[in-house]
Amino acid sequence: MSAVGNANDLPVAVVSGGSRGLGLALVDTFLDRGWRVATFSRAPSGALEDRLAAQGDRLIWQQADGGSADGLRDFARAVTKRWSRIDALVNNAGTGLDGLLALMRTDEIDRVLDINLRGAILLTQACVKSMIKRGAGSVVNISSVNGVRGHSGVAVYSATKAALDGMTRSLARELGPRNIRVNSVAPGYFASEMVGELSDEATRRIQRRTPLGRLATPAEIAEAVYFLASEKGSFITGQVLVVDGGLTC
Amino acid sequence: MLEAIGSMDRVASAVRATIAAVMAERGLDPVELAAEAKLSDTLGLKSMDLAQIVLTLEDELETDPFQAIPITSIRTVGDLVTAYGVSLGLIDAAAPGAQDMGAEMAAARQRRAGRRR
Repeated sequence: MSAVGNANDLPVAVVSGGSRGLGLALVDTFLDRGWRVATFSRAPSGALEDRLAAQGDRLIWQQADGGSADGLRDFARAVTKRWSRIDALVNNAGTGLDGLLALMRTDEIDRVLDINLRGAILLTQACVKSMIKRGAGSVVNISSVNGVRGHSGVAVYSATKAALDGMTRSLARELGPRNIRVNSVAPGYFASEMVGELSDEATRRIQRRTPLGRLATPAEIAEAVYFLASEKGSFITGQVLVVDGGLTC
Repeated sequence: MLEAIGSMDRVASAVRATIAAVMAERGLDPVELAAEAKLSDTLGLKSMDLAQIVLTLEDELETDPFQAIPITSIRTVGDLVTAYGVSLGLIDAAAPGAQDMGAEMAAARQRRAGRRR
């Protein structure tokens, strides 16, 4: 733990979708560095419940759906009411959608747009209010290599991630004068439920094409996010950091 | 009526105090915050300064008029005071100078009700 002293002085990170996978790794990473963390998901995982029991007042969780505008605003309001500040926001909540665009149902497309893009925009709007008032903060959007390179079968998912990168660049210019930084982390393939749905052959093919020869761990992605969210990345804004073991190089 | 006048006084004081605080933070010269003073041309505030003022007032007055009223309709200190007066129901939305804001808020309420249906 790097931050000590009065609990009210501890920085606050908001992590969307923190109950499992990369979200849970992000929660752990910020907690390990002495931050307070607020997260939400549709339901708490057993692993998150363990953290909630162990961390006491440094970790809060609220039930919310990443596609619900009212739920996201209520969550952000609850965080600022309780801790009076938000130092970093990580827009991590997301969902995948594989298949041919020509055959996708409209309600499936809407669901991905709502969670991956609209939810991230609305949560960012709610959280940067606190940052503007304080004149400090950082936002990290979890993008994807699919937002940087084209891949068949993930058109809608790719569209949402590329859109997040667009928001990153524009918001970096908009909020830079208020000392608020905005960046994206574009992970390659890492051990997660989404990758778990790939066939063994598909996973082996990704590993073969990755110069580092393996998938990332969620903790490795979380470290890159922490670097950009914290003062370690104090002169970096408007950038997309690809963390993919060299897959797209 | 006396209570309403008192409340509008409070709103006007809060708006002016917040504008003054943000101007001081930006290093702008203090000037009299007359109702007709233009936020941009006269006071030198930028759009992000206005955002900071609105966010601070949202905490203090517990309302955000700009979910209904376009922020682009706000030009002067008086416009800002009126917007909060209308939003808080302290000014008749049909009163001179507030009609446009009243109409915008009524239309926004209708849009929200339509989305809920």
